[in-house]
Amino acid sequence: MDKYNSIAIIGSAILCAAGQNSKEFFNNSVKQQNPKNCKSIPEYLFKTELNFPAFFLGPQIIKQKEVLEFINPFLKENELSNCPNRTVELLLQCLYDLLIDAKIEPKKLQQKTVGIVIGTTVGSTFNDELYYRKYREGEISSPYAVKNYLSSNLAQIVQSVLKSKGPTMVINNACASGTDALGVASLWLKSGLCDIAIAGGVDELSKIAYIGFSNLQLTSKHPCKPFDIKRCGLNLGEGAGLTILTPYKKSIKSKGYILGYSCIADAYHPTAPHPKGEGLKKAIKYAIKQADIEVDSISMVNAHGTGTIANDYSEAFAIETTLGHKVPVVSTKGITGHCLGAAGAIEAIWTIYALNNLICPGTIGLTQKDPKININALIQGENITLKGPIGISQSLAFGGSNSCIVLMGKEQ
Amino acid sequence: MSTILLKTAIATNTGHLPIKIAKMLRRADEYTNLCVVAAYEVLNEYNDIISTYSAEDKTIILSTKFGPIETNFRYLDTIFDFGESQGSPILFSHSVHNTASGYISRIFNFKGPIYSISSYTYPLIKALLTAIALLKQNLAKLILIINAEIESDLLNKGIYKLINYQNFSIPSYAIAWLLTNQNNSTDKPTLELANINFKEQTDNRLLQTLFDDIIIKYHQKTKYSKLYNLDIEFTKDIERLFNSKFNNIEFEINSNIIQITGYIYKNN
Repeated sequence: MDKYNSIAIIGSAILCAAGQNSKEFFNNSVKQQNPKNCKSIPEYLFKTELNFPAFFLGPQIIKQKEVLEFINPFLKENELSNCPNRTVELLLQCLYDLLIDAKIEPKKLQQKTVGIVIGTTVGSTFNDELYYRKYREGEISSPYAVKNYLSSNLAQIVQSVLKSKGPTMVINNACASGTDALGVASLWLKSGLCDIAIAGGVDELSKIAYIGFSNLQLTSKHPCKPFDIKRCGLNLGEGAGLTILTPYKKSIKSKGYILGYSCIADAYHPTAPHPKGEGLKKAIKYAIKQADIEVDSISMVNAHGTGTIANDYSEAFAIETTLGHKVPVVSTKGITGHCLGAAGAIEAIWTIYALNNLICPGTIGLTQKDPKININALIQGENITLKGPIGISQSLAFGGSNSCIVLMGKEQ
Repeated sequence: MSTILLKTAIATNTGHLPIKIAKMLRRADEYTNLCVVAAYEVLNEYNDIISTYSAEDKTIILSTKFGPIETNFRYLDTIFDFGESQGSPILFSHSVHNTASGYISRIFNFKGPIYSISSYTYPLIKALLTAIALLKQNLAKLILIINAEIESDLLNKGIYKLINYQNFSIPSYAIAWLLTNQNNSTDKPTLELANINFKEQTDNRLLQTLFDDIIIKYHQKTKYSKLYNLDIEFTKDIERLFNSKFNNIEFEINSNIIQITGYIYKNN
């Protein structure tokens, strides 16, 4: 392992239905209770005729006075009365938490070249239903929705709030966006495009995505059950996960490390993964090769684990083929829902927590493993001690993307 | 190790494709069709070289300001017209930003990293920076960059209302750039990408930055160079690459697009 070629994670923050911060989320995972927060969609999110439960946060994302003070200059300078949408609210709350966690003042960042890479799906889509209805009827009175849309590029918002300089990018690799954001930021750091990077993923629970996934017949009427014989589809979720990354230096106190990353295409189907996990197998293999570690060093896998048949079989086959059937595998979707563009980032941060605590909680919702799946998927209630501080977090996506990131906990 | 631009192409209509490819696009929207046409234009000429790379060495980076925005509206139409439970799953899956890159990877067997990125400013530049980083780190050997937009009446009218700028429109187009390392170069005419100097600072003016990017580059060409901290140097005559394959109208659009995406070129 070439630690000197790794990327240090010097700060992280999570916001999702399973916890308002990383510690709370991880502790709730360890409790291994049935999810109480997988519910019908409340009106404060949107009205819908459909009835698929999902994981979501409360009506108000930003509550603290300090956070409002943090974002107010940005709103004022851009002549915005409020955050353009809920995804931006999630982003800015998480950004505030990230700076607190990393103990970094924005002014300090202004002295550096800061790369900003944010993954999202919903956050880049024009989803104002009311505005579009009026447009269909020939009415364009006030272009408020267009203004909101054009003011909501997540990476540029972070740059604007921090008043930093450096390259920014939003990654739209569907459900792998969060993992790819961390991977691309690592690439930028290694290439010298920036000194420090803010990377992660953010997505709100949007009505359009909610309806779309149900139209694709991928959503479940019950809490999801990844890798379970009684699986019945996925639950959508919402959230944000952000990290601050920097090239490895012995003097820098780190929460963990990115050792390797790979993204490989299936080139198979618009929405379904390759049934034998061909792309994912290669992504795992290349990420491990980049990390310069042995396969035996992997102590756990945080799987994409959505709870759909196609994902479960494809992912399990890829894990079994590349890592064997003994490595512990967990999915956190049973406590967070599928947070789409945020999922990969949230799960990578959670994995770092697991590796630092050398504990891997079981998969909430998994009670009876599908006998066709030959991997060590941890069932609910099966918290185990990890054999080492290195693990994998992986994501699969529409469009045939497979992304894998090799992570290591901090030095003990 | 230098970065070599092998070829560029532009698609402003869905054009003619071999039947085998056209069949694979039966369900695809106009945005994806344009992207595939542009990709075909650059890849077809270099089949001999491309076939020497493994599928995993070939990467796609799709860059855009707005993505397949009209497909999203068509999906909304199905929900409004037929009800939530009858929304079109095909239109929904095609409204996702990375659908086009997924099609390209399947059609041309690109199995390396595929990225879809969006930025209201300089999307192609950002794709280019990432492509060069991938090539330098030897994480890819051949990279297809696509930059594409689709004309949107809603967006055109909304932006017109916002800034009161007449005749505003972003046309439908896709351009493709094929990049590789010098080590893998060919005897065909190419350009060496000598240097990129790009500094980005949003500077608390999200909308203004975007409008500067669109308006100045489209309509006040002479001033654009002063707005951007951007300089791309090529070592050879860039005119040959962009001019040779296009008629005058297409070249005018192509040069506009170069400006839209923030390109300034110098002939050494």
